[in-house]
Amino acid sequence: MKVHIEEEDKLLSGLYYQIGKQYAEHISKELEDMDEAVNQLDYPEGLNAWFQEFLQENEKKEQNVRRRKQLNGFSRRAAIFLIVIISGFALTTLSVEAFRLRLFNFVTEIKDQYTKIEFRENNGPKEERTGLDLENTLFPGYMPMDYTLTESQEFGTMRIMHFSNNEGEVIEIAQSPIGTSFQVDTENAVTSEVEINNGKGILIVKGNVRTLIWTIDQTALYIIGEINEAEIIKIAENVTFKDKN
Amino acid sequence: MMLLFLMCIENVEDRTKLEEIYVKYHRTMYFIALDILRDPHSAQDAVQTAILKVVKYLDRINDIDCNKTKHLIVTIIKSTSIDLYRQKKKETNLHSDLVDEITDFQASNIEDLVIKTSEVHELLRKLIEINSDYADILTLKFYHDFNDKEIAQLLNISHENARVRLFRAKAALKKIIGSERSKDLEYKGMCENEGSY
Repeated sequence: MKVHIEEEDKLLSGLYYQIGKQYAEHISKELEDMDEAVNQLDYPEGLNAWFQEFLQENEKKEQNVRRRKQLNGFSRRAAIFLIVIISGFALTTLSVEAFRLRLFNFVTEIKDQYTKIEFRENNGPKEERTGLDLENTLFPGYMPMDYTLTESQEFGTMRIMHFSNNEGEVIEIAQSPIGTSFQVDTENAVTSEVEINNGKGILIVKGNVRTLIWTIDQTALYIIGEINEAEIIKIAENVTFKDKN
Repeated sequence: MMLLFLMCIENVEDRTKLEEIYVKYHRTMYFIALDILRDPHSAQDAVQTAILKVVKYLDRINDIDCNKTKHLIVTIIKSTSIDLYRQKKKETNLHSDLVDEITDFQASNIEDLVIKTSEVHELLRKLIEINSDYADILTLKFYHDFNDKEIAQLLNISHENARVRLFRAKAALKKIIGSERSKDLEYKGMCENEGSY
């Protein structure tokens, strides 16, 4: 019985297809016939507004996903190992392979695909710190127009905030206590020293993406985004801290 | 409704395609929904839900204006509206699908099932007369090439119901073919008898 039905199905598959094809034509004809009535119908404007909003929401999501991928890729491909210590240190600019920034005393080793930066205390080995917490959460006192907080994440001792604008552009700001590390790509990037509120920071420029790394007291911070140098420095200079509670 | 917003259209081409579909069919969809639901607010809900469903089938739509697309859009808005109607009225018997009378199908002779293309139109007309849902499901399965699971999702019915409805649609069609053949044979017999007089 089952074999018989299967044979029939195979034999009739062409007929079924033709039935489907003609039924679709039949539906199309029905739609044409109802055209006049459809055009006379009062269509709710609210639906048009909803649809436009739906499209815009999706466009934003798509842009966010694209930016996130771009930033993630940027972070993944290489690394800056950041170990932050206290200020007041010696600075010596080294060769192309390495340089030091006096204030943070961080040593940067430029490798093929990444830059390793260590923040060290003068006259002593790297301090091992554990059990660090983030009692205070960063608060950006300045953010370029249209950027709003869209996401906040915590990974261990690191807190990351994502700000997005209507175009789906993302600025990522992260804070981390001294002693933790985080990663940023520096392959084919241009790295320079900048001043942040009379302190020093490292600005890494790769294409349109800028990364700024600096410290405030016991906290290491970075900003990543497709923003110009003046803006990224302005954001950094206006970062303050608020009690987490 | 907010949950449905989570659905994401992945690229500009799909967004443009959806916009074109909306521009072309939004009034028709609302018209069909209103015809089924008889309530403007419910019809709006149905159109919104149907548009979000269309997103899932964008990759299957190549030509916005072809009969295939028209059938798909009509099927989606009809099934969505009927589903909404069922939810609102808490009725489960709007469709006679699972309580219909076609249960006496017996396998036909294969020779009897061979038909001419010119006969398809008449077969379709009779199939729609019995139950247009049968024409719909055969179209989805054999013209659109959806599998049973996809059909179930599209029609808001269970996988098992989709399978049963498909079986019944095929059975109904075979029955029509069988009865057409009987008529032909009777007619042929009459002619032969007439000739012998």
